[in-house]
Amino acid sequence: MQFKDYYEIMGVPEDAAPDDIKKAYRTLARKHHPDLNKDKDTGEKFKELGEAYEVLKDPAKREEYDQLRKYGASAGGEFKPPPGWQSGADFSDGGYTTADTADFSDFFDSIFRHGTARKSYSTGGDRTGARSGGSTFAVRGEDAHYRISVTLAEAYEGSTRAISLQTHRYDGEGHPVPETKTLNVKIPKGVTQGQNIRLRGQGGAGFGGAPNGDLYMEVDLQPHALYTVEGRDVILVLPVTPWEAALGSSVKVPTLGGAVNLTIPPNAQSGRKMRLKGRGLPGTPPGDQYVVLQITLPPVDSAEDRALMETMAKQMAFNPRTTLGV
Amino acid sequence: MTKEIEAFTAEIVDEATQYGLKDICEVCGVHAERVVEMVEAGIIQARGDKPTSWRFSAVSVMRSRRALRLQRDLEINAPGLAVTLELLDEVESLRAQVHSLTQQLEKLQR
Repeated sequence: MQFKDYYEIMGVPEDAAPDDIKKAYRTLARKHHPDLNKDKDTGEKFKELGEAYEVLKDPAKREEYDQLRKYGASAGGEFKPPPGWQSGADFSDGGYTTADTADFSDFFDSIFRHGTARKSYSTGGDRTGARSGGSTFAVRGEDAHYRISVTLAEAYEGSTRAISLQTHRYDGEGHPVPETKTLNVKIPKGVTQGQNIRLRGQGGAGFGGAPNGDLYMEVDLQPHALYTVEGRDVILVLPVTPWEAALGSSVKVPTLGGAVNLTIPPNAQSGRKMRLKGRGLPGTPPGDQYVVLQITLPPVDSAEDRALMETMAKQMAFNPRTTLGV
Repeated sequence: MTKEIEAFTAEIVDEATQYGLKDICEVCGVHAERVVEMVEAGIIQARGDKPTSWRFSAVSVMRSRRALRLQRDLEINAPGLAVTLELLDEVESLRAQVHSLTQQLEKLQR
């Protein structure tokens, strides 16, 4: 088992005053809180920090830890609690803790949960809120949060996919037991970037007969070669010839649901945005597809092409730079 | 240990699914007073004129869970939470805009 140096994790010296530990926790918690940060490893860092703070903020636990730390340091990285070690902190049986200790490390367990049933846990809310009498507690499981990468085609049509997640359940004695769950998840059609989808009851296990937490998955839409997505709307850059734009025309345009004809009005300019109503991602109401015209010049290679361009230059008195004042 | 479980349909967290005051309290594991406090601070929106007829969207439920986590972990008070969540919303929407505009720009430059 890896020895965890809680002082190092919190970036404080061994003799740090309680106030400095609190200050360090607050600063680091803001930096690594998963609700404030989207980085992948903030969750892990925050858990580690919570674990370190849980021990260092409590004088009794801190003292025990300090003793063990001297012992652990001499064992050279690999940590085993001394034989016959038993935590004296009123923690392992019945004490409340402010953090979700189910996710704490084996190292933490080996020190503070040695041999006794685990009865301390918390919810995101009032710790007494779910108290149902005397010494029995029922606490709803924590919500689990994941990110899920979805292609635009999957978002349009919906899809089913197998997802593996790390979770824990409680055994008969109230110990959290890590568990790998594989779920086949039906992703409904019409999901879009940043949206959350939820599986009820698939989050952390509830305690004492309380319901499980929910599993939330934040959708990450994979970039598409043709379309850009904004909410439920999709945007397509459509190359058109100068004559299609100048004379007006009907051109074929791809959409998520198949090709449709788009009427381009005469004298359309580059950058003009046209709307295909209801051709975006499905929903109530469905999104639209926006088509942005991009006038594309043909390569002028032959003498004939050149002659055509020269004729235009001669016959069309056109200066697109009049607004530039030159 | 691996356990295989059959296909589950995920629901989209949006404004369509509605919860009552009792439901949101259960889901968040808090007393009604805490929810009232969050509504009064403008952290979450409730539809309906009095608490007994309040309706909350799934988005509000997720938001209150998030607010409670932040309150627990960072000891932020209700007005502070309202500001924090509002700024987080703004950051998220700006990020989405930058993401979308960057992609559009790439497509125009090709």
